[in-house]
Amino acid sequence: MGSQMDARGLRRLRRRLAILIVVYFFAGAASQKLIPGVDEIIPLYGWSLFSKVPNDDSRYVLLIHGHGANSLEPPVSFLRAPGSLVAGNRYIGRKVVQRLGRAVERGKTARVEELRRLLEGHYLRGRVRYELVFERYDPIEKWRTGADLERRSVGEFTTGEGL
Amino acid sequence: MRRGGRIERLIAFFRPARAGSASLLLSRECFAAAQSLIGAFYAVLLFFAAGRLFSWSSDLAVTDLAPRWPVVWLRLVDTRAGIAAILWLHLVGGVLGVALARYRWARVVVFVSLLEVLALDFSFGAVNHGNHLAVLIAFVLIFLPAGWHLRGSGDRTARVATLLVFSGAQAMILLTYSMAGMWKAGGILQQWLQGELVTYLHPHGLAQQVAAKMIEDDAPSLLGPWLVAHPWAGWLPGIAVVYLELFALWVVARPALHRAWGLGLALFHLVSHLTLGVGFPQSVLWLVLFLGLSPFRPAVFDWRRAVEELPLLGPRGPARRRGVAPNRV
Repeated sequence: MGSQMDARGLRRLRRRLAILIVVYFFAGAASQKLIPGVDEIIPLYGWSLFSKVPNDDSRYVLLIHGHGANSLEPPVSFLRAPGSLVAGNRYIGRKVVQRLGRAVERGKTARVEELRRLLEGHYLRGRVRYELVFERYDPIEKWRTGADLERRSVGEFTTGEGL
Repeated sequence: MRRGGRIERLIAFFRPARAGSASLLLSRECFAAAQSLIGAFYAVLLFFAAGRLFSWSSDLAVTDLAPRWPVVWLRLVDTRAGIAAILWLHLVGGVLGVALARYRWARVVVFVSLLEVLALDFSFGAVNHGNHLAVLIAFVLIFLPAGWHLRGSGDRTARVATLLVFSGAQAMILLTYSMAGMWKAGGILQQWLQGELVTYLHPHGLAQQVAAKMIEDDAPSLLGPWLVAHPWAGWLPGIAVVYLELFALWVVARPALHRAWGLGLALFHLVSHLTLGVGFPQSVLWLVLFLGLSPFRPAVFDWRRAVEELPLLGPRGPARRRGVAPNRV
């Protein structure tokens, strides 16, 4: 390539760039959407971000009821808890909470224990009593009024107990 | 049909009906501007690498990580030594990009250094897509021809090849937005088929998305609460975002739209930071550098031409393009 490049070389270069775009399109989409359990293969990514508007959203909330011998009234949520209760990046820990909630509801005991170890070992400090709560809601309505369409307790745990 | 034939047809599909944009590849002014912008890209990478020095001590203190594939070799070496090697490579790559980007091997090192540091950053569980574009652009720039850096180069083919590669970098940036738009458009169809009324086309669509994100984060964004209180305010902006994203790649062969799309997508990132709380500041930089300041943009913004070339809305839609001979390099 370089000063010896002729018109044919330029067309080849243009074709290579076009192929690169096409390959990234398919490989990126496949890496995010088609391979189960794989979110992306860096730097390939499907760029599916906020693709759908949640009409009726749901989440699991971790509420901390106690720390050591102390009770917390009212209980405090994982994302709003002080640093004395929660460690690490809580926005990543939140994803563990979602996975844990789903595992509890599906009765996957081994998975629950695995996720509890991860959560309690990395994101909770000391002996914490906590509850997992499932919430289903209309996002705008919940933001305005706090109202849920459905709210139920999924389970209560204490750090290290039953593992 | 041969693969080469398919690719040529694909290129022809994206080519505008109105002739003239191919002649820009011969322009000395465009070449000089592209050289400066590519130089600026590598200068910014050095700036990022220098800024990273502030977090070296905390990066080196890491003992537990789940390495992504580009840094999976960290499992085979002492973690601290491996991370130190990646950080040094990042810094050296930054310097090489500024000092020796004329050489292809140096541009390969820059790409590898960015890929390694990105993979390292992703190896702690967090996933952030704000820094992907730099890696992709650095990869495309590997294709730059020898002599791309020479000021006032008399080598016509080197000038054309440099501008082709620059437009390839623009296409790569715009492709990521088109992919995002494609999923959103698909999401709208899927939600309709599932009987869900609130999509990005619904007057409350954007506000609903913002409310869901604020609830997920358990924290208000700066403008999110206002938008949720006035959901209609997000109706047209929400549709505009899907339009800007979906047709981003369409713009690459239409220089009259480069500036509008670059600044429009940059504005989209700023507004989504203020409402959704999701920031892509590095992407804003690349959009402004490669499209807002595109070397192919008209000297004076020609709004009539820009309107004519708008995808779907302009009068030069695909139906009017039939029978028009494509431009040739």
